[in-house]
Amino acid sequence: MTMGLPCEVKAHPITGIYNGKFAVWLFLASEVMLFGALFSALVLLRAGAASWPHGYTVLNVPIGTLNTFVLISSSVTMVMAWASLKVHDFAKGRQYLLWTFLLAALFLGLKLALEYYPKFQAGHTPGHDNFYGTYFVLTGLHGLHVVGGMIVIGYFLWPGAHLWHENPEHYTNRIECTGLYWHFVDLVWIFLFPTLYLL
Amino acid sequence: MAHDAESIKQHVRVYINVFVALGVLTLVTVGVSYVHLDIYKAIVVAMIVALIKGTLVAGYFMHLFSERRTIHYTLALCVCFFAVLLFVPKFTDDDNVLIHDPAHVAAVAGAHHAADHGSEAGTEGQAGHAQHP
Repeated sequence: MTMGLPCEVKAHPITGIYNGKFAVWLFLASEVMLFGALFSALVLLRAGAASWPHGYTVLNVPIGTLNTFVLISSSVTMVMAWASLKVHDFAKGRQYLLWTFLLAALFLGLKLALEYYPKFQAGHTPGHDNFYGTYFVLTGLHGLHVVGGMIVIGYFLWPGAHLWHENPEHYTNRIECTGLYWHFVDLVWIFLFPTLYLL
Repeated sequence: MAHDAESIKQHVRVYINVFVALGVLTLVTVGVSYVHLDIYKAIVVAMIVALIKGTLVAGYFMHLFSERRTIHYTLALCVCFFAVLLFVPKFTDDDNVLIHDPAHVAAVAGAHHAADHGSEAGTEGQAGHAQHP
């Protein structure tokens, strides 16, 4: 029998939730501050600029809208994976996780191929002006978060899947924590999309 | 939070409804952008819709509505700090006025130049602030 970390499955007597979940919420709070600082920088730069383009005149709104649907769909598949695991349906849970992974890859593919690549081809690099600087920093950091999520989801899909057979509840908890992170990534996009593309 | 098979079924129904609501709200946001409202009205509408969408995701997908108070308190603190961060630009009035306006840039540069010379002559602090054009 291996010794695990304390309260990684059962609720902690003080917080009322297992430690991993509390840790993820604290991490997400720090992430709010990270993106908050960048949003604040965007407000400062836009308010202080003599001119600032409307996002819809320079960015690809249809692709941004499509990507919003892709990310929302991935959030649903993620939460459905957790719901399936909760009723002990590992095969279905894994299938939903795979869909989440594929939708995340689609999001990145669309972003890189239909948004970043044409922008770089046209010479609209991050150094072009403050608009493109903030656009690439905000969407780039968000994209890195998507990559991070894919790595974690990929881990639990393949090498980490054995945990289900050893301790299903622990595996389900880990998917719940991954889901919290993934929904946060979706949440950031929900604010990024109108701020950058539609205003 | 107990999760039996029946309660999970109810959860799944809620998730699907939230998904539909998020899709509709996304279309609303994009639709409103084609109306080309005045920028202040557009910001208000876009942020209200984004807030509703964010609440749905956090409340239902992240289960925040049924989460423990420990998490609510932690996030309330986070929201306070986030609000401070968003209002930081308002606290830095000197830099928040047309930072790309050549006249303002020249005025700031002139004030700094005067301040440098002033400090050399022992009058430090008298010309420390840039005057807005």
